Amino acid sequence: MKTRLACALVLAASAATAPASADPVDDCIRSSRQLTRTFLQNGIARDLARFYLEFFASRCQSPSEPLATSWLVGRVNWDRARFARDFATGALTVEQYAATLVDRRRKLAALRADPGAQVALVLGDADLDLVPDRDDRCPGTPSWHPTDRSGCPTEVPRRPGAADEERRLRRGLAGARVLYNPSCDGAPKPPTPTAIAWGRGTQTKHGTQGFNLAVAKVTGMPPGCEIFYEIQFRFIDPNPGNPSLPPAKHVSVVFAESEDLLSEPTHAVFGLPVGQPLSPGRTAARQAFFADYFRVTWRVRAVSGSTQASPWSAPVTQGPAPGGVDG
Amino acid sequence: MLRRPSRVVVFLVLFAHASILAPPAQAHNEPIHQAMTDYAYEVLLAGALYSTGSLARGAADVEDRLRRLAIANPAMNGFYADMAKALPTLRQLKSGLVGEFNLLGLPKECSPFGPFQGQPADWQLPPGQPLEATEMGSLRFPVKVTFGRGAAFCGIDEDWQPSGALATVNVPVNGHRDHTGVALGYHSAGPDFRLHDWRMRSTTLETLQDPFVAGSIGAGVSALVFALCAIACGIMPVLCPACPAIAAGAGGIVIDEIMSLDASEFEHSDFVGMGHHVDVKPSPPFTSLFDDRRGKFAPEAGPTGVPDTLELMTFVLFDLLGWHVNFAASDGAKNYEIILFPGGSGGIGADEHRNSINRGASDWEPETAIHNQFTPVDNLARFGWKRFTADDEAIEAAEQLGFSLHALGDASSPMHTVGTAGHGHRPYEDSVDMKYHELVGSESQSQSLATISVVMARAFVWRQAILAWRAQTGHAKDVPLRDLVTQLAVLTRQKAQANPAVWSSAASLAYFFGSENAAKGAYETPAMTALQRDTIVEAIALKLAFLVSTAEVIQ
Repeated sequence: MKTRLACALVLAASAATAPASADPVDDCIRSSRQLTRTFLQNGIARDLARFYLEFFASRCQSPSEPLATSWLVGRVNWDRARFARDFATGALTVEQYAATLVDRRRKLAALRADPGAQVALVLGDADLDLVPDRDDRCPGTPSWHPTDRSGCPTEVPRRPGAADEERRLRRGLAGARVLYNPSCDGAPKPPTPTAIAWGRGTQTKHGTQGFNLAVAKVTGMPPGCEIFYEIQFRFIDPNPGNPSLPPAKHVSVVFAESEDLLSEPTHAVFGLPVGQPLSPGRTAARQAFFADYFRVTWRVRAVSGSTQASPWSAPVTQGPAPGGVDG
Repeated sequence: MLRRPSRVVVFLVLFAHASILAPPAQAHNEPIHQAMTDYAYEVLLAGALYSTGSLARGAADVEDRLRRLAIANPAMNGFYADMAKALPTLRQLKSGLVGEFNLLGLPKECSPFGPFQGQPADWQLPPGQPLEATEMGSLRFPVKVTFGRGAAFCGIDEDWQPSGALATVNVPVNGHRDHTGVALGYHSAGPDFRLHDWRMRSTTLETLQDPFVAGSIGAGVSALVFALCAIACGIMPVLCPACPAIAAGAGGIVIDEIMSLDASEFEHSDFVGMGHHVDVKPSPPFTSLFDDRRGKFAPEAGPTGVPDTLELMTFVLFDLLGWHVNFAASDGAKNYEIILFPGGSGGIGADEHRNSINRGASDWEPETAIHNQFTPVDNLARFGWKRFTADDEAIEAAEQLGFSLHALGDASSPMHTVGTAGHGHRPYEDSVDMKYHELVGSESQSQSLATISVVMARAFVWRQAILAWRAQTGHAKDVPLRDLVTQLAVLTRQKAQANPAVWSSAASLAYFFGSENAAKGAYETPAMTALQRDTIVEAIALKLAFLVSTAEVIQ
């Protein structure tokens, strides 16, 4: 960080105050945001703008602290935000990111207790390792890398199984997608549905037979804000004719409101048709219902198109409804 | 400018994965809190009726078990007698239930498939008496935890009956069973609904909304948006609309459409759980800065103090979005700081437990919230207790008692005793939820009787501890709640440490990415089931001892 920048920030920080109101911290942070916008409009890089904002916010939250302390806290928050971004994008590994958290926490505690070092930090930390240039014997250390008190790199702690976790995390993030429907903006949290019954039955809408699930219908959403029913099953009582089955099997499926086989106001029926290709979760559920297990504990929750979810319903344990469930 | 996935795309994605990301909420699901408390009450009822010779004929098996326990330990008869004294006091608590209404303000209809056949429940209340002022012992119906909190139907639990052999104890009188246990359980789930406990303020969102800094989006970047949104929506679904801002935080793009997130004061059910931990693993001296034990402290979360990958993702979320505790708007920051006389801040309180050290906004706000030491759940227990004992005849009394019962439930979850949102937290607790009735033996007479015996025997031990504390301190009208919650947590952690497979980071990650079977399958082994049963039964036992002792305090 350059000294002239520090001076600019000190000036800016003193401007980052606002008229008293119900919540002076909010007012102060709001005016800090405006100030940051001004900096952005004047060509300052976004990354640096984030630092300004963290510094100002720190000032707003603890106005009686020395400026150098606010700078320190703002710096740490900024560092953490950068490292979080780099971890999320894959630029830092699990081990490296975990090391940054430990390193910054340790340094923050040490610097908080040393006002002189805080001032030195404001005056210069060229490699952004949170060790003032004054004390830094190893300039050029990558910002994220843990260091000792003299700014020289220390070993990144190993984590057992880190490679596996890294692989799972990256694979998961690459495959994950988000449910989002703008029509659900401002919609209330959906009410909790109820798991009513399951059993064999007709699926009139499709002219098929299969397994049907009846749940209490969730209503009251704005037009166009479709509800999804997430259902979790724990199949129990395995068919003794198949000794390879585990004693319990968990399966999750999601149905969209539009898949309701009925148009009843109070309840919806969703089908797992026999003899048709289905998604992996539905295929697993159908197989479990059809041949593998005699009973299931299941529960349901409603999720709106902005992924607002109701609480889960209480789980119920049921065998197939004696009269079947038609849809 | 719109950077959101189109609806068509969303649907395709959804069905390709056949699952949406589930949030790693940080507590037992609410129905389990209710079920555990109810179970404790039903056993209390059995002991009370045994003591007065009032057990129904059909309860001969239960009677035999209780008799055998008393033969083995004659002091048990005194415990049963104490239950008999406690029973009317608990039944007289006001229900505190506020009804479930439809859009027209009328009582909501019940399920068309149940005994009410689509009609609202008729509580048969005396004229002028609201449901909330009705004594628990007079409640005609059992309620679900969603009653009055957004149930699709009327919120009556039409499937409820006491677990296993306890159904022979709590038999219908005047047309209905005793629903005191269910109502107490309802309130013990209550703290999970307190969204005002922890509210956040973001230092970033409004600025990043500024159209001036908007950029363009390309195919490569959109994948990034998805990846970061996956973290955000998975951990905090309320954030899905803020995905554009998250992408902005990543330095790539900014989108000026954040509709439903107030940057200065926002809340979410997953924040609530941050005050529901008590970290009892050994930690170096002077590292618990504000209480004798820390609550959730993410930087040292987990059995060995090393946050796992899922926990690291929560750091990403808080740090990237600049989420700080909004002290003024967070009830929890004030309520769960327990400072009792005579010790004052950091001293020893009237319950002989070390008090909190006072914290203000400048302690809570500067760092992003995930780096804070949150208040421990034993404080939450004491908060409710203080208010409950101040006015046990108030309509809100049962709600206040619910804090204490809730904390006892949380202390039975291993992950709550080491302060972690990962290490198998969500799949473990979901697994408990899905097999609860197996754990307590609801479907088997012999297992059910065995569970009742174990609960009663363990409750006796807890009860003796409470009585000994009273005798030692002279606090005859108090219960050492902070100690009890902490002791239960210590016991839970010890049991978990003996089964280290319970700490499964892989299960947490698999759960987060929607692999149900992989995640919960980890907790289907006999060893894990035994651990779950052991910890649940211990918590039920302590709740039973606590309820008996509570009644004495307010009699």
